[in-house]
Amino acid sequence: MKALKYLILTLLVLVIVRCDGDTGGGDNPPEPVTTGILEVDFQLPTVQLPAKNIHRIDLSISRTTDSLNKGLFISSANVLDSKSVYRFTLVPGTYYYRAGVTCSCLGDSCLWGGFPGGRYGVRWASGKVIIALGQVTRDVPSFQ
Amino acid sequence: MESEGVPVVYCVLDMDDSLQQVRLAKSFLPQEGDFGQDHYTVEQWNEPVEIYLEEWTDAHTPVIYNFSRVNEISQDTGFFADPSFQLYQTYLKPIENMVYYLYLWFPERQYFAYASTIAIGHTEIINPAAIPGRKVTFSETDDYMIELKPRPNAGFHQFNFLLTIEQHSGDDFIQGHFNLGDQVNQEYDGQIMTYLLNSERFYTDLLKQYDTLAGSDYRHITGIEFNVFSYGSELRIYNQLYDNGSQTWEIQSYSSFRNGFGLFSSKAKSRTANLELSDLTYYILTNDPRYKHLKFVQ
Repeated sequence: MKALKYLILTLLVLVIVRCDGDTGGGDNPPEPVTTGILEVDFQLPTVQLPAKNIHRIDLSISRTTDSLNKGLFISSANVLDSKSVYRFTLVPGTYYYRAGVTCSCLGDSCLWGGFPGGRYGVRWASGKVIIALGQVTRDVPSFQ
Repeated sequence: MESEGVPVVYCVLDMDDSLQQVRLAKSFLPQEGDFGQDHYTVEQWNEPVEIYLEEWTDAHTPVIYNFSRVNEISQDTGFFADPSFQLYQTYLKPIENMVYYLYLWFPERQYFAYASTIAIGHTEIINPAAIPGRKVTFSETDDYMIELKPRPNAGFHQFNFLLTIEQHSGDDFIQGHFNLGDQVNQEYDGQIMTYLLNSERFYTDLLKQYDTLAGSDYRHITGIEFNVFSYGSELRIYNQLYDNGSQTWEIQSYSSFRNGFGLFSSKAKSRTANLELSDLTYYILTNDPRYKHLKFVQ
């Protein structure tokens, strides 16, 4: 009888140890990574104008250049003057983006600073990026 | 004093108005530990009272504004709504950073109830900014970052995007408003305040407010603006107690008045108009099967 008790106790201990040792997260395996990250370092163009008068106004992404021109975006960032780096989580593939800046200087300063039409004219930069699975792809818009 | 009831006074100086109001009623304070009551029971004030406000423009002589009783407005909306409050008004355009003292003299009781406050200024809205070309995006992949720069002494801010929406039905249309906002309770520290507004709430709240449209009816967003209502530090404390789920007794026992109960503070509204929704937001509204039935058009 005593031996039987020891046997049951040993089996119980074994079961408990086995349960405790199961640190694999239960029945749910970690979800596979299906996306990559696009990181756009949206630097303002270098112009001979006060920095506080140059504003980011747009950073949008499309799957094709045609969609980009038509304004059919899959993602748009809420751009800020105080923030330059924007991250997008995307499925792997080729993407096109556009970045826009405008100028709020008075007079004809904006025009001579290269903003078409002068005040609140927009300068655009666009780029092509290839997003790889689980990778961070970094790009810097280049304003002409 | 307990048996006579105590004066309950609310005055929130409106920095954008030249007509200021004081609300006065009478209450009998509940006993401490009496959690059965979730609000004060107020009664009409039925004793003589003289109400005036001191504006200390210099250190020697204050400018005095006397309040007079008005009967045509019923106090049933806004902060501290209760029809029992009697209203008193004076013409005054408050000045930012000015110290104001509010006095209520009760001749039959031979005492003053009084409070002071420092008037706040208008919060600067940094983002959203009304920059032509910059549009507001509400999408599942990007929450909206609000950036505000409060003025000294402000500590409680309510803000919202206000969309004007026309619902067209045949030749007729009804104009309505849709609000998306929140509030922040933050002591003034001279820093720019940032707040991340959940973009998904834009869509879930739209679904809550609007039904499916039939036939050729449609909805058109005709305007979008951003408003910030900032309040003085007294309201910050009041709302902090409220938001923290404090006991009723603790909320009720906060008062900025001496010899009375209530709040004396100030508020200021800031606004950014002529904002625009982004193409992506319109695309989601008009093409996503979850929202298509709301029939928004660009």
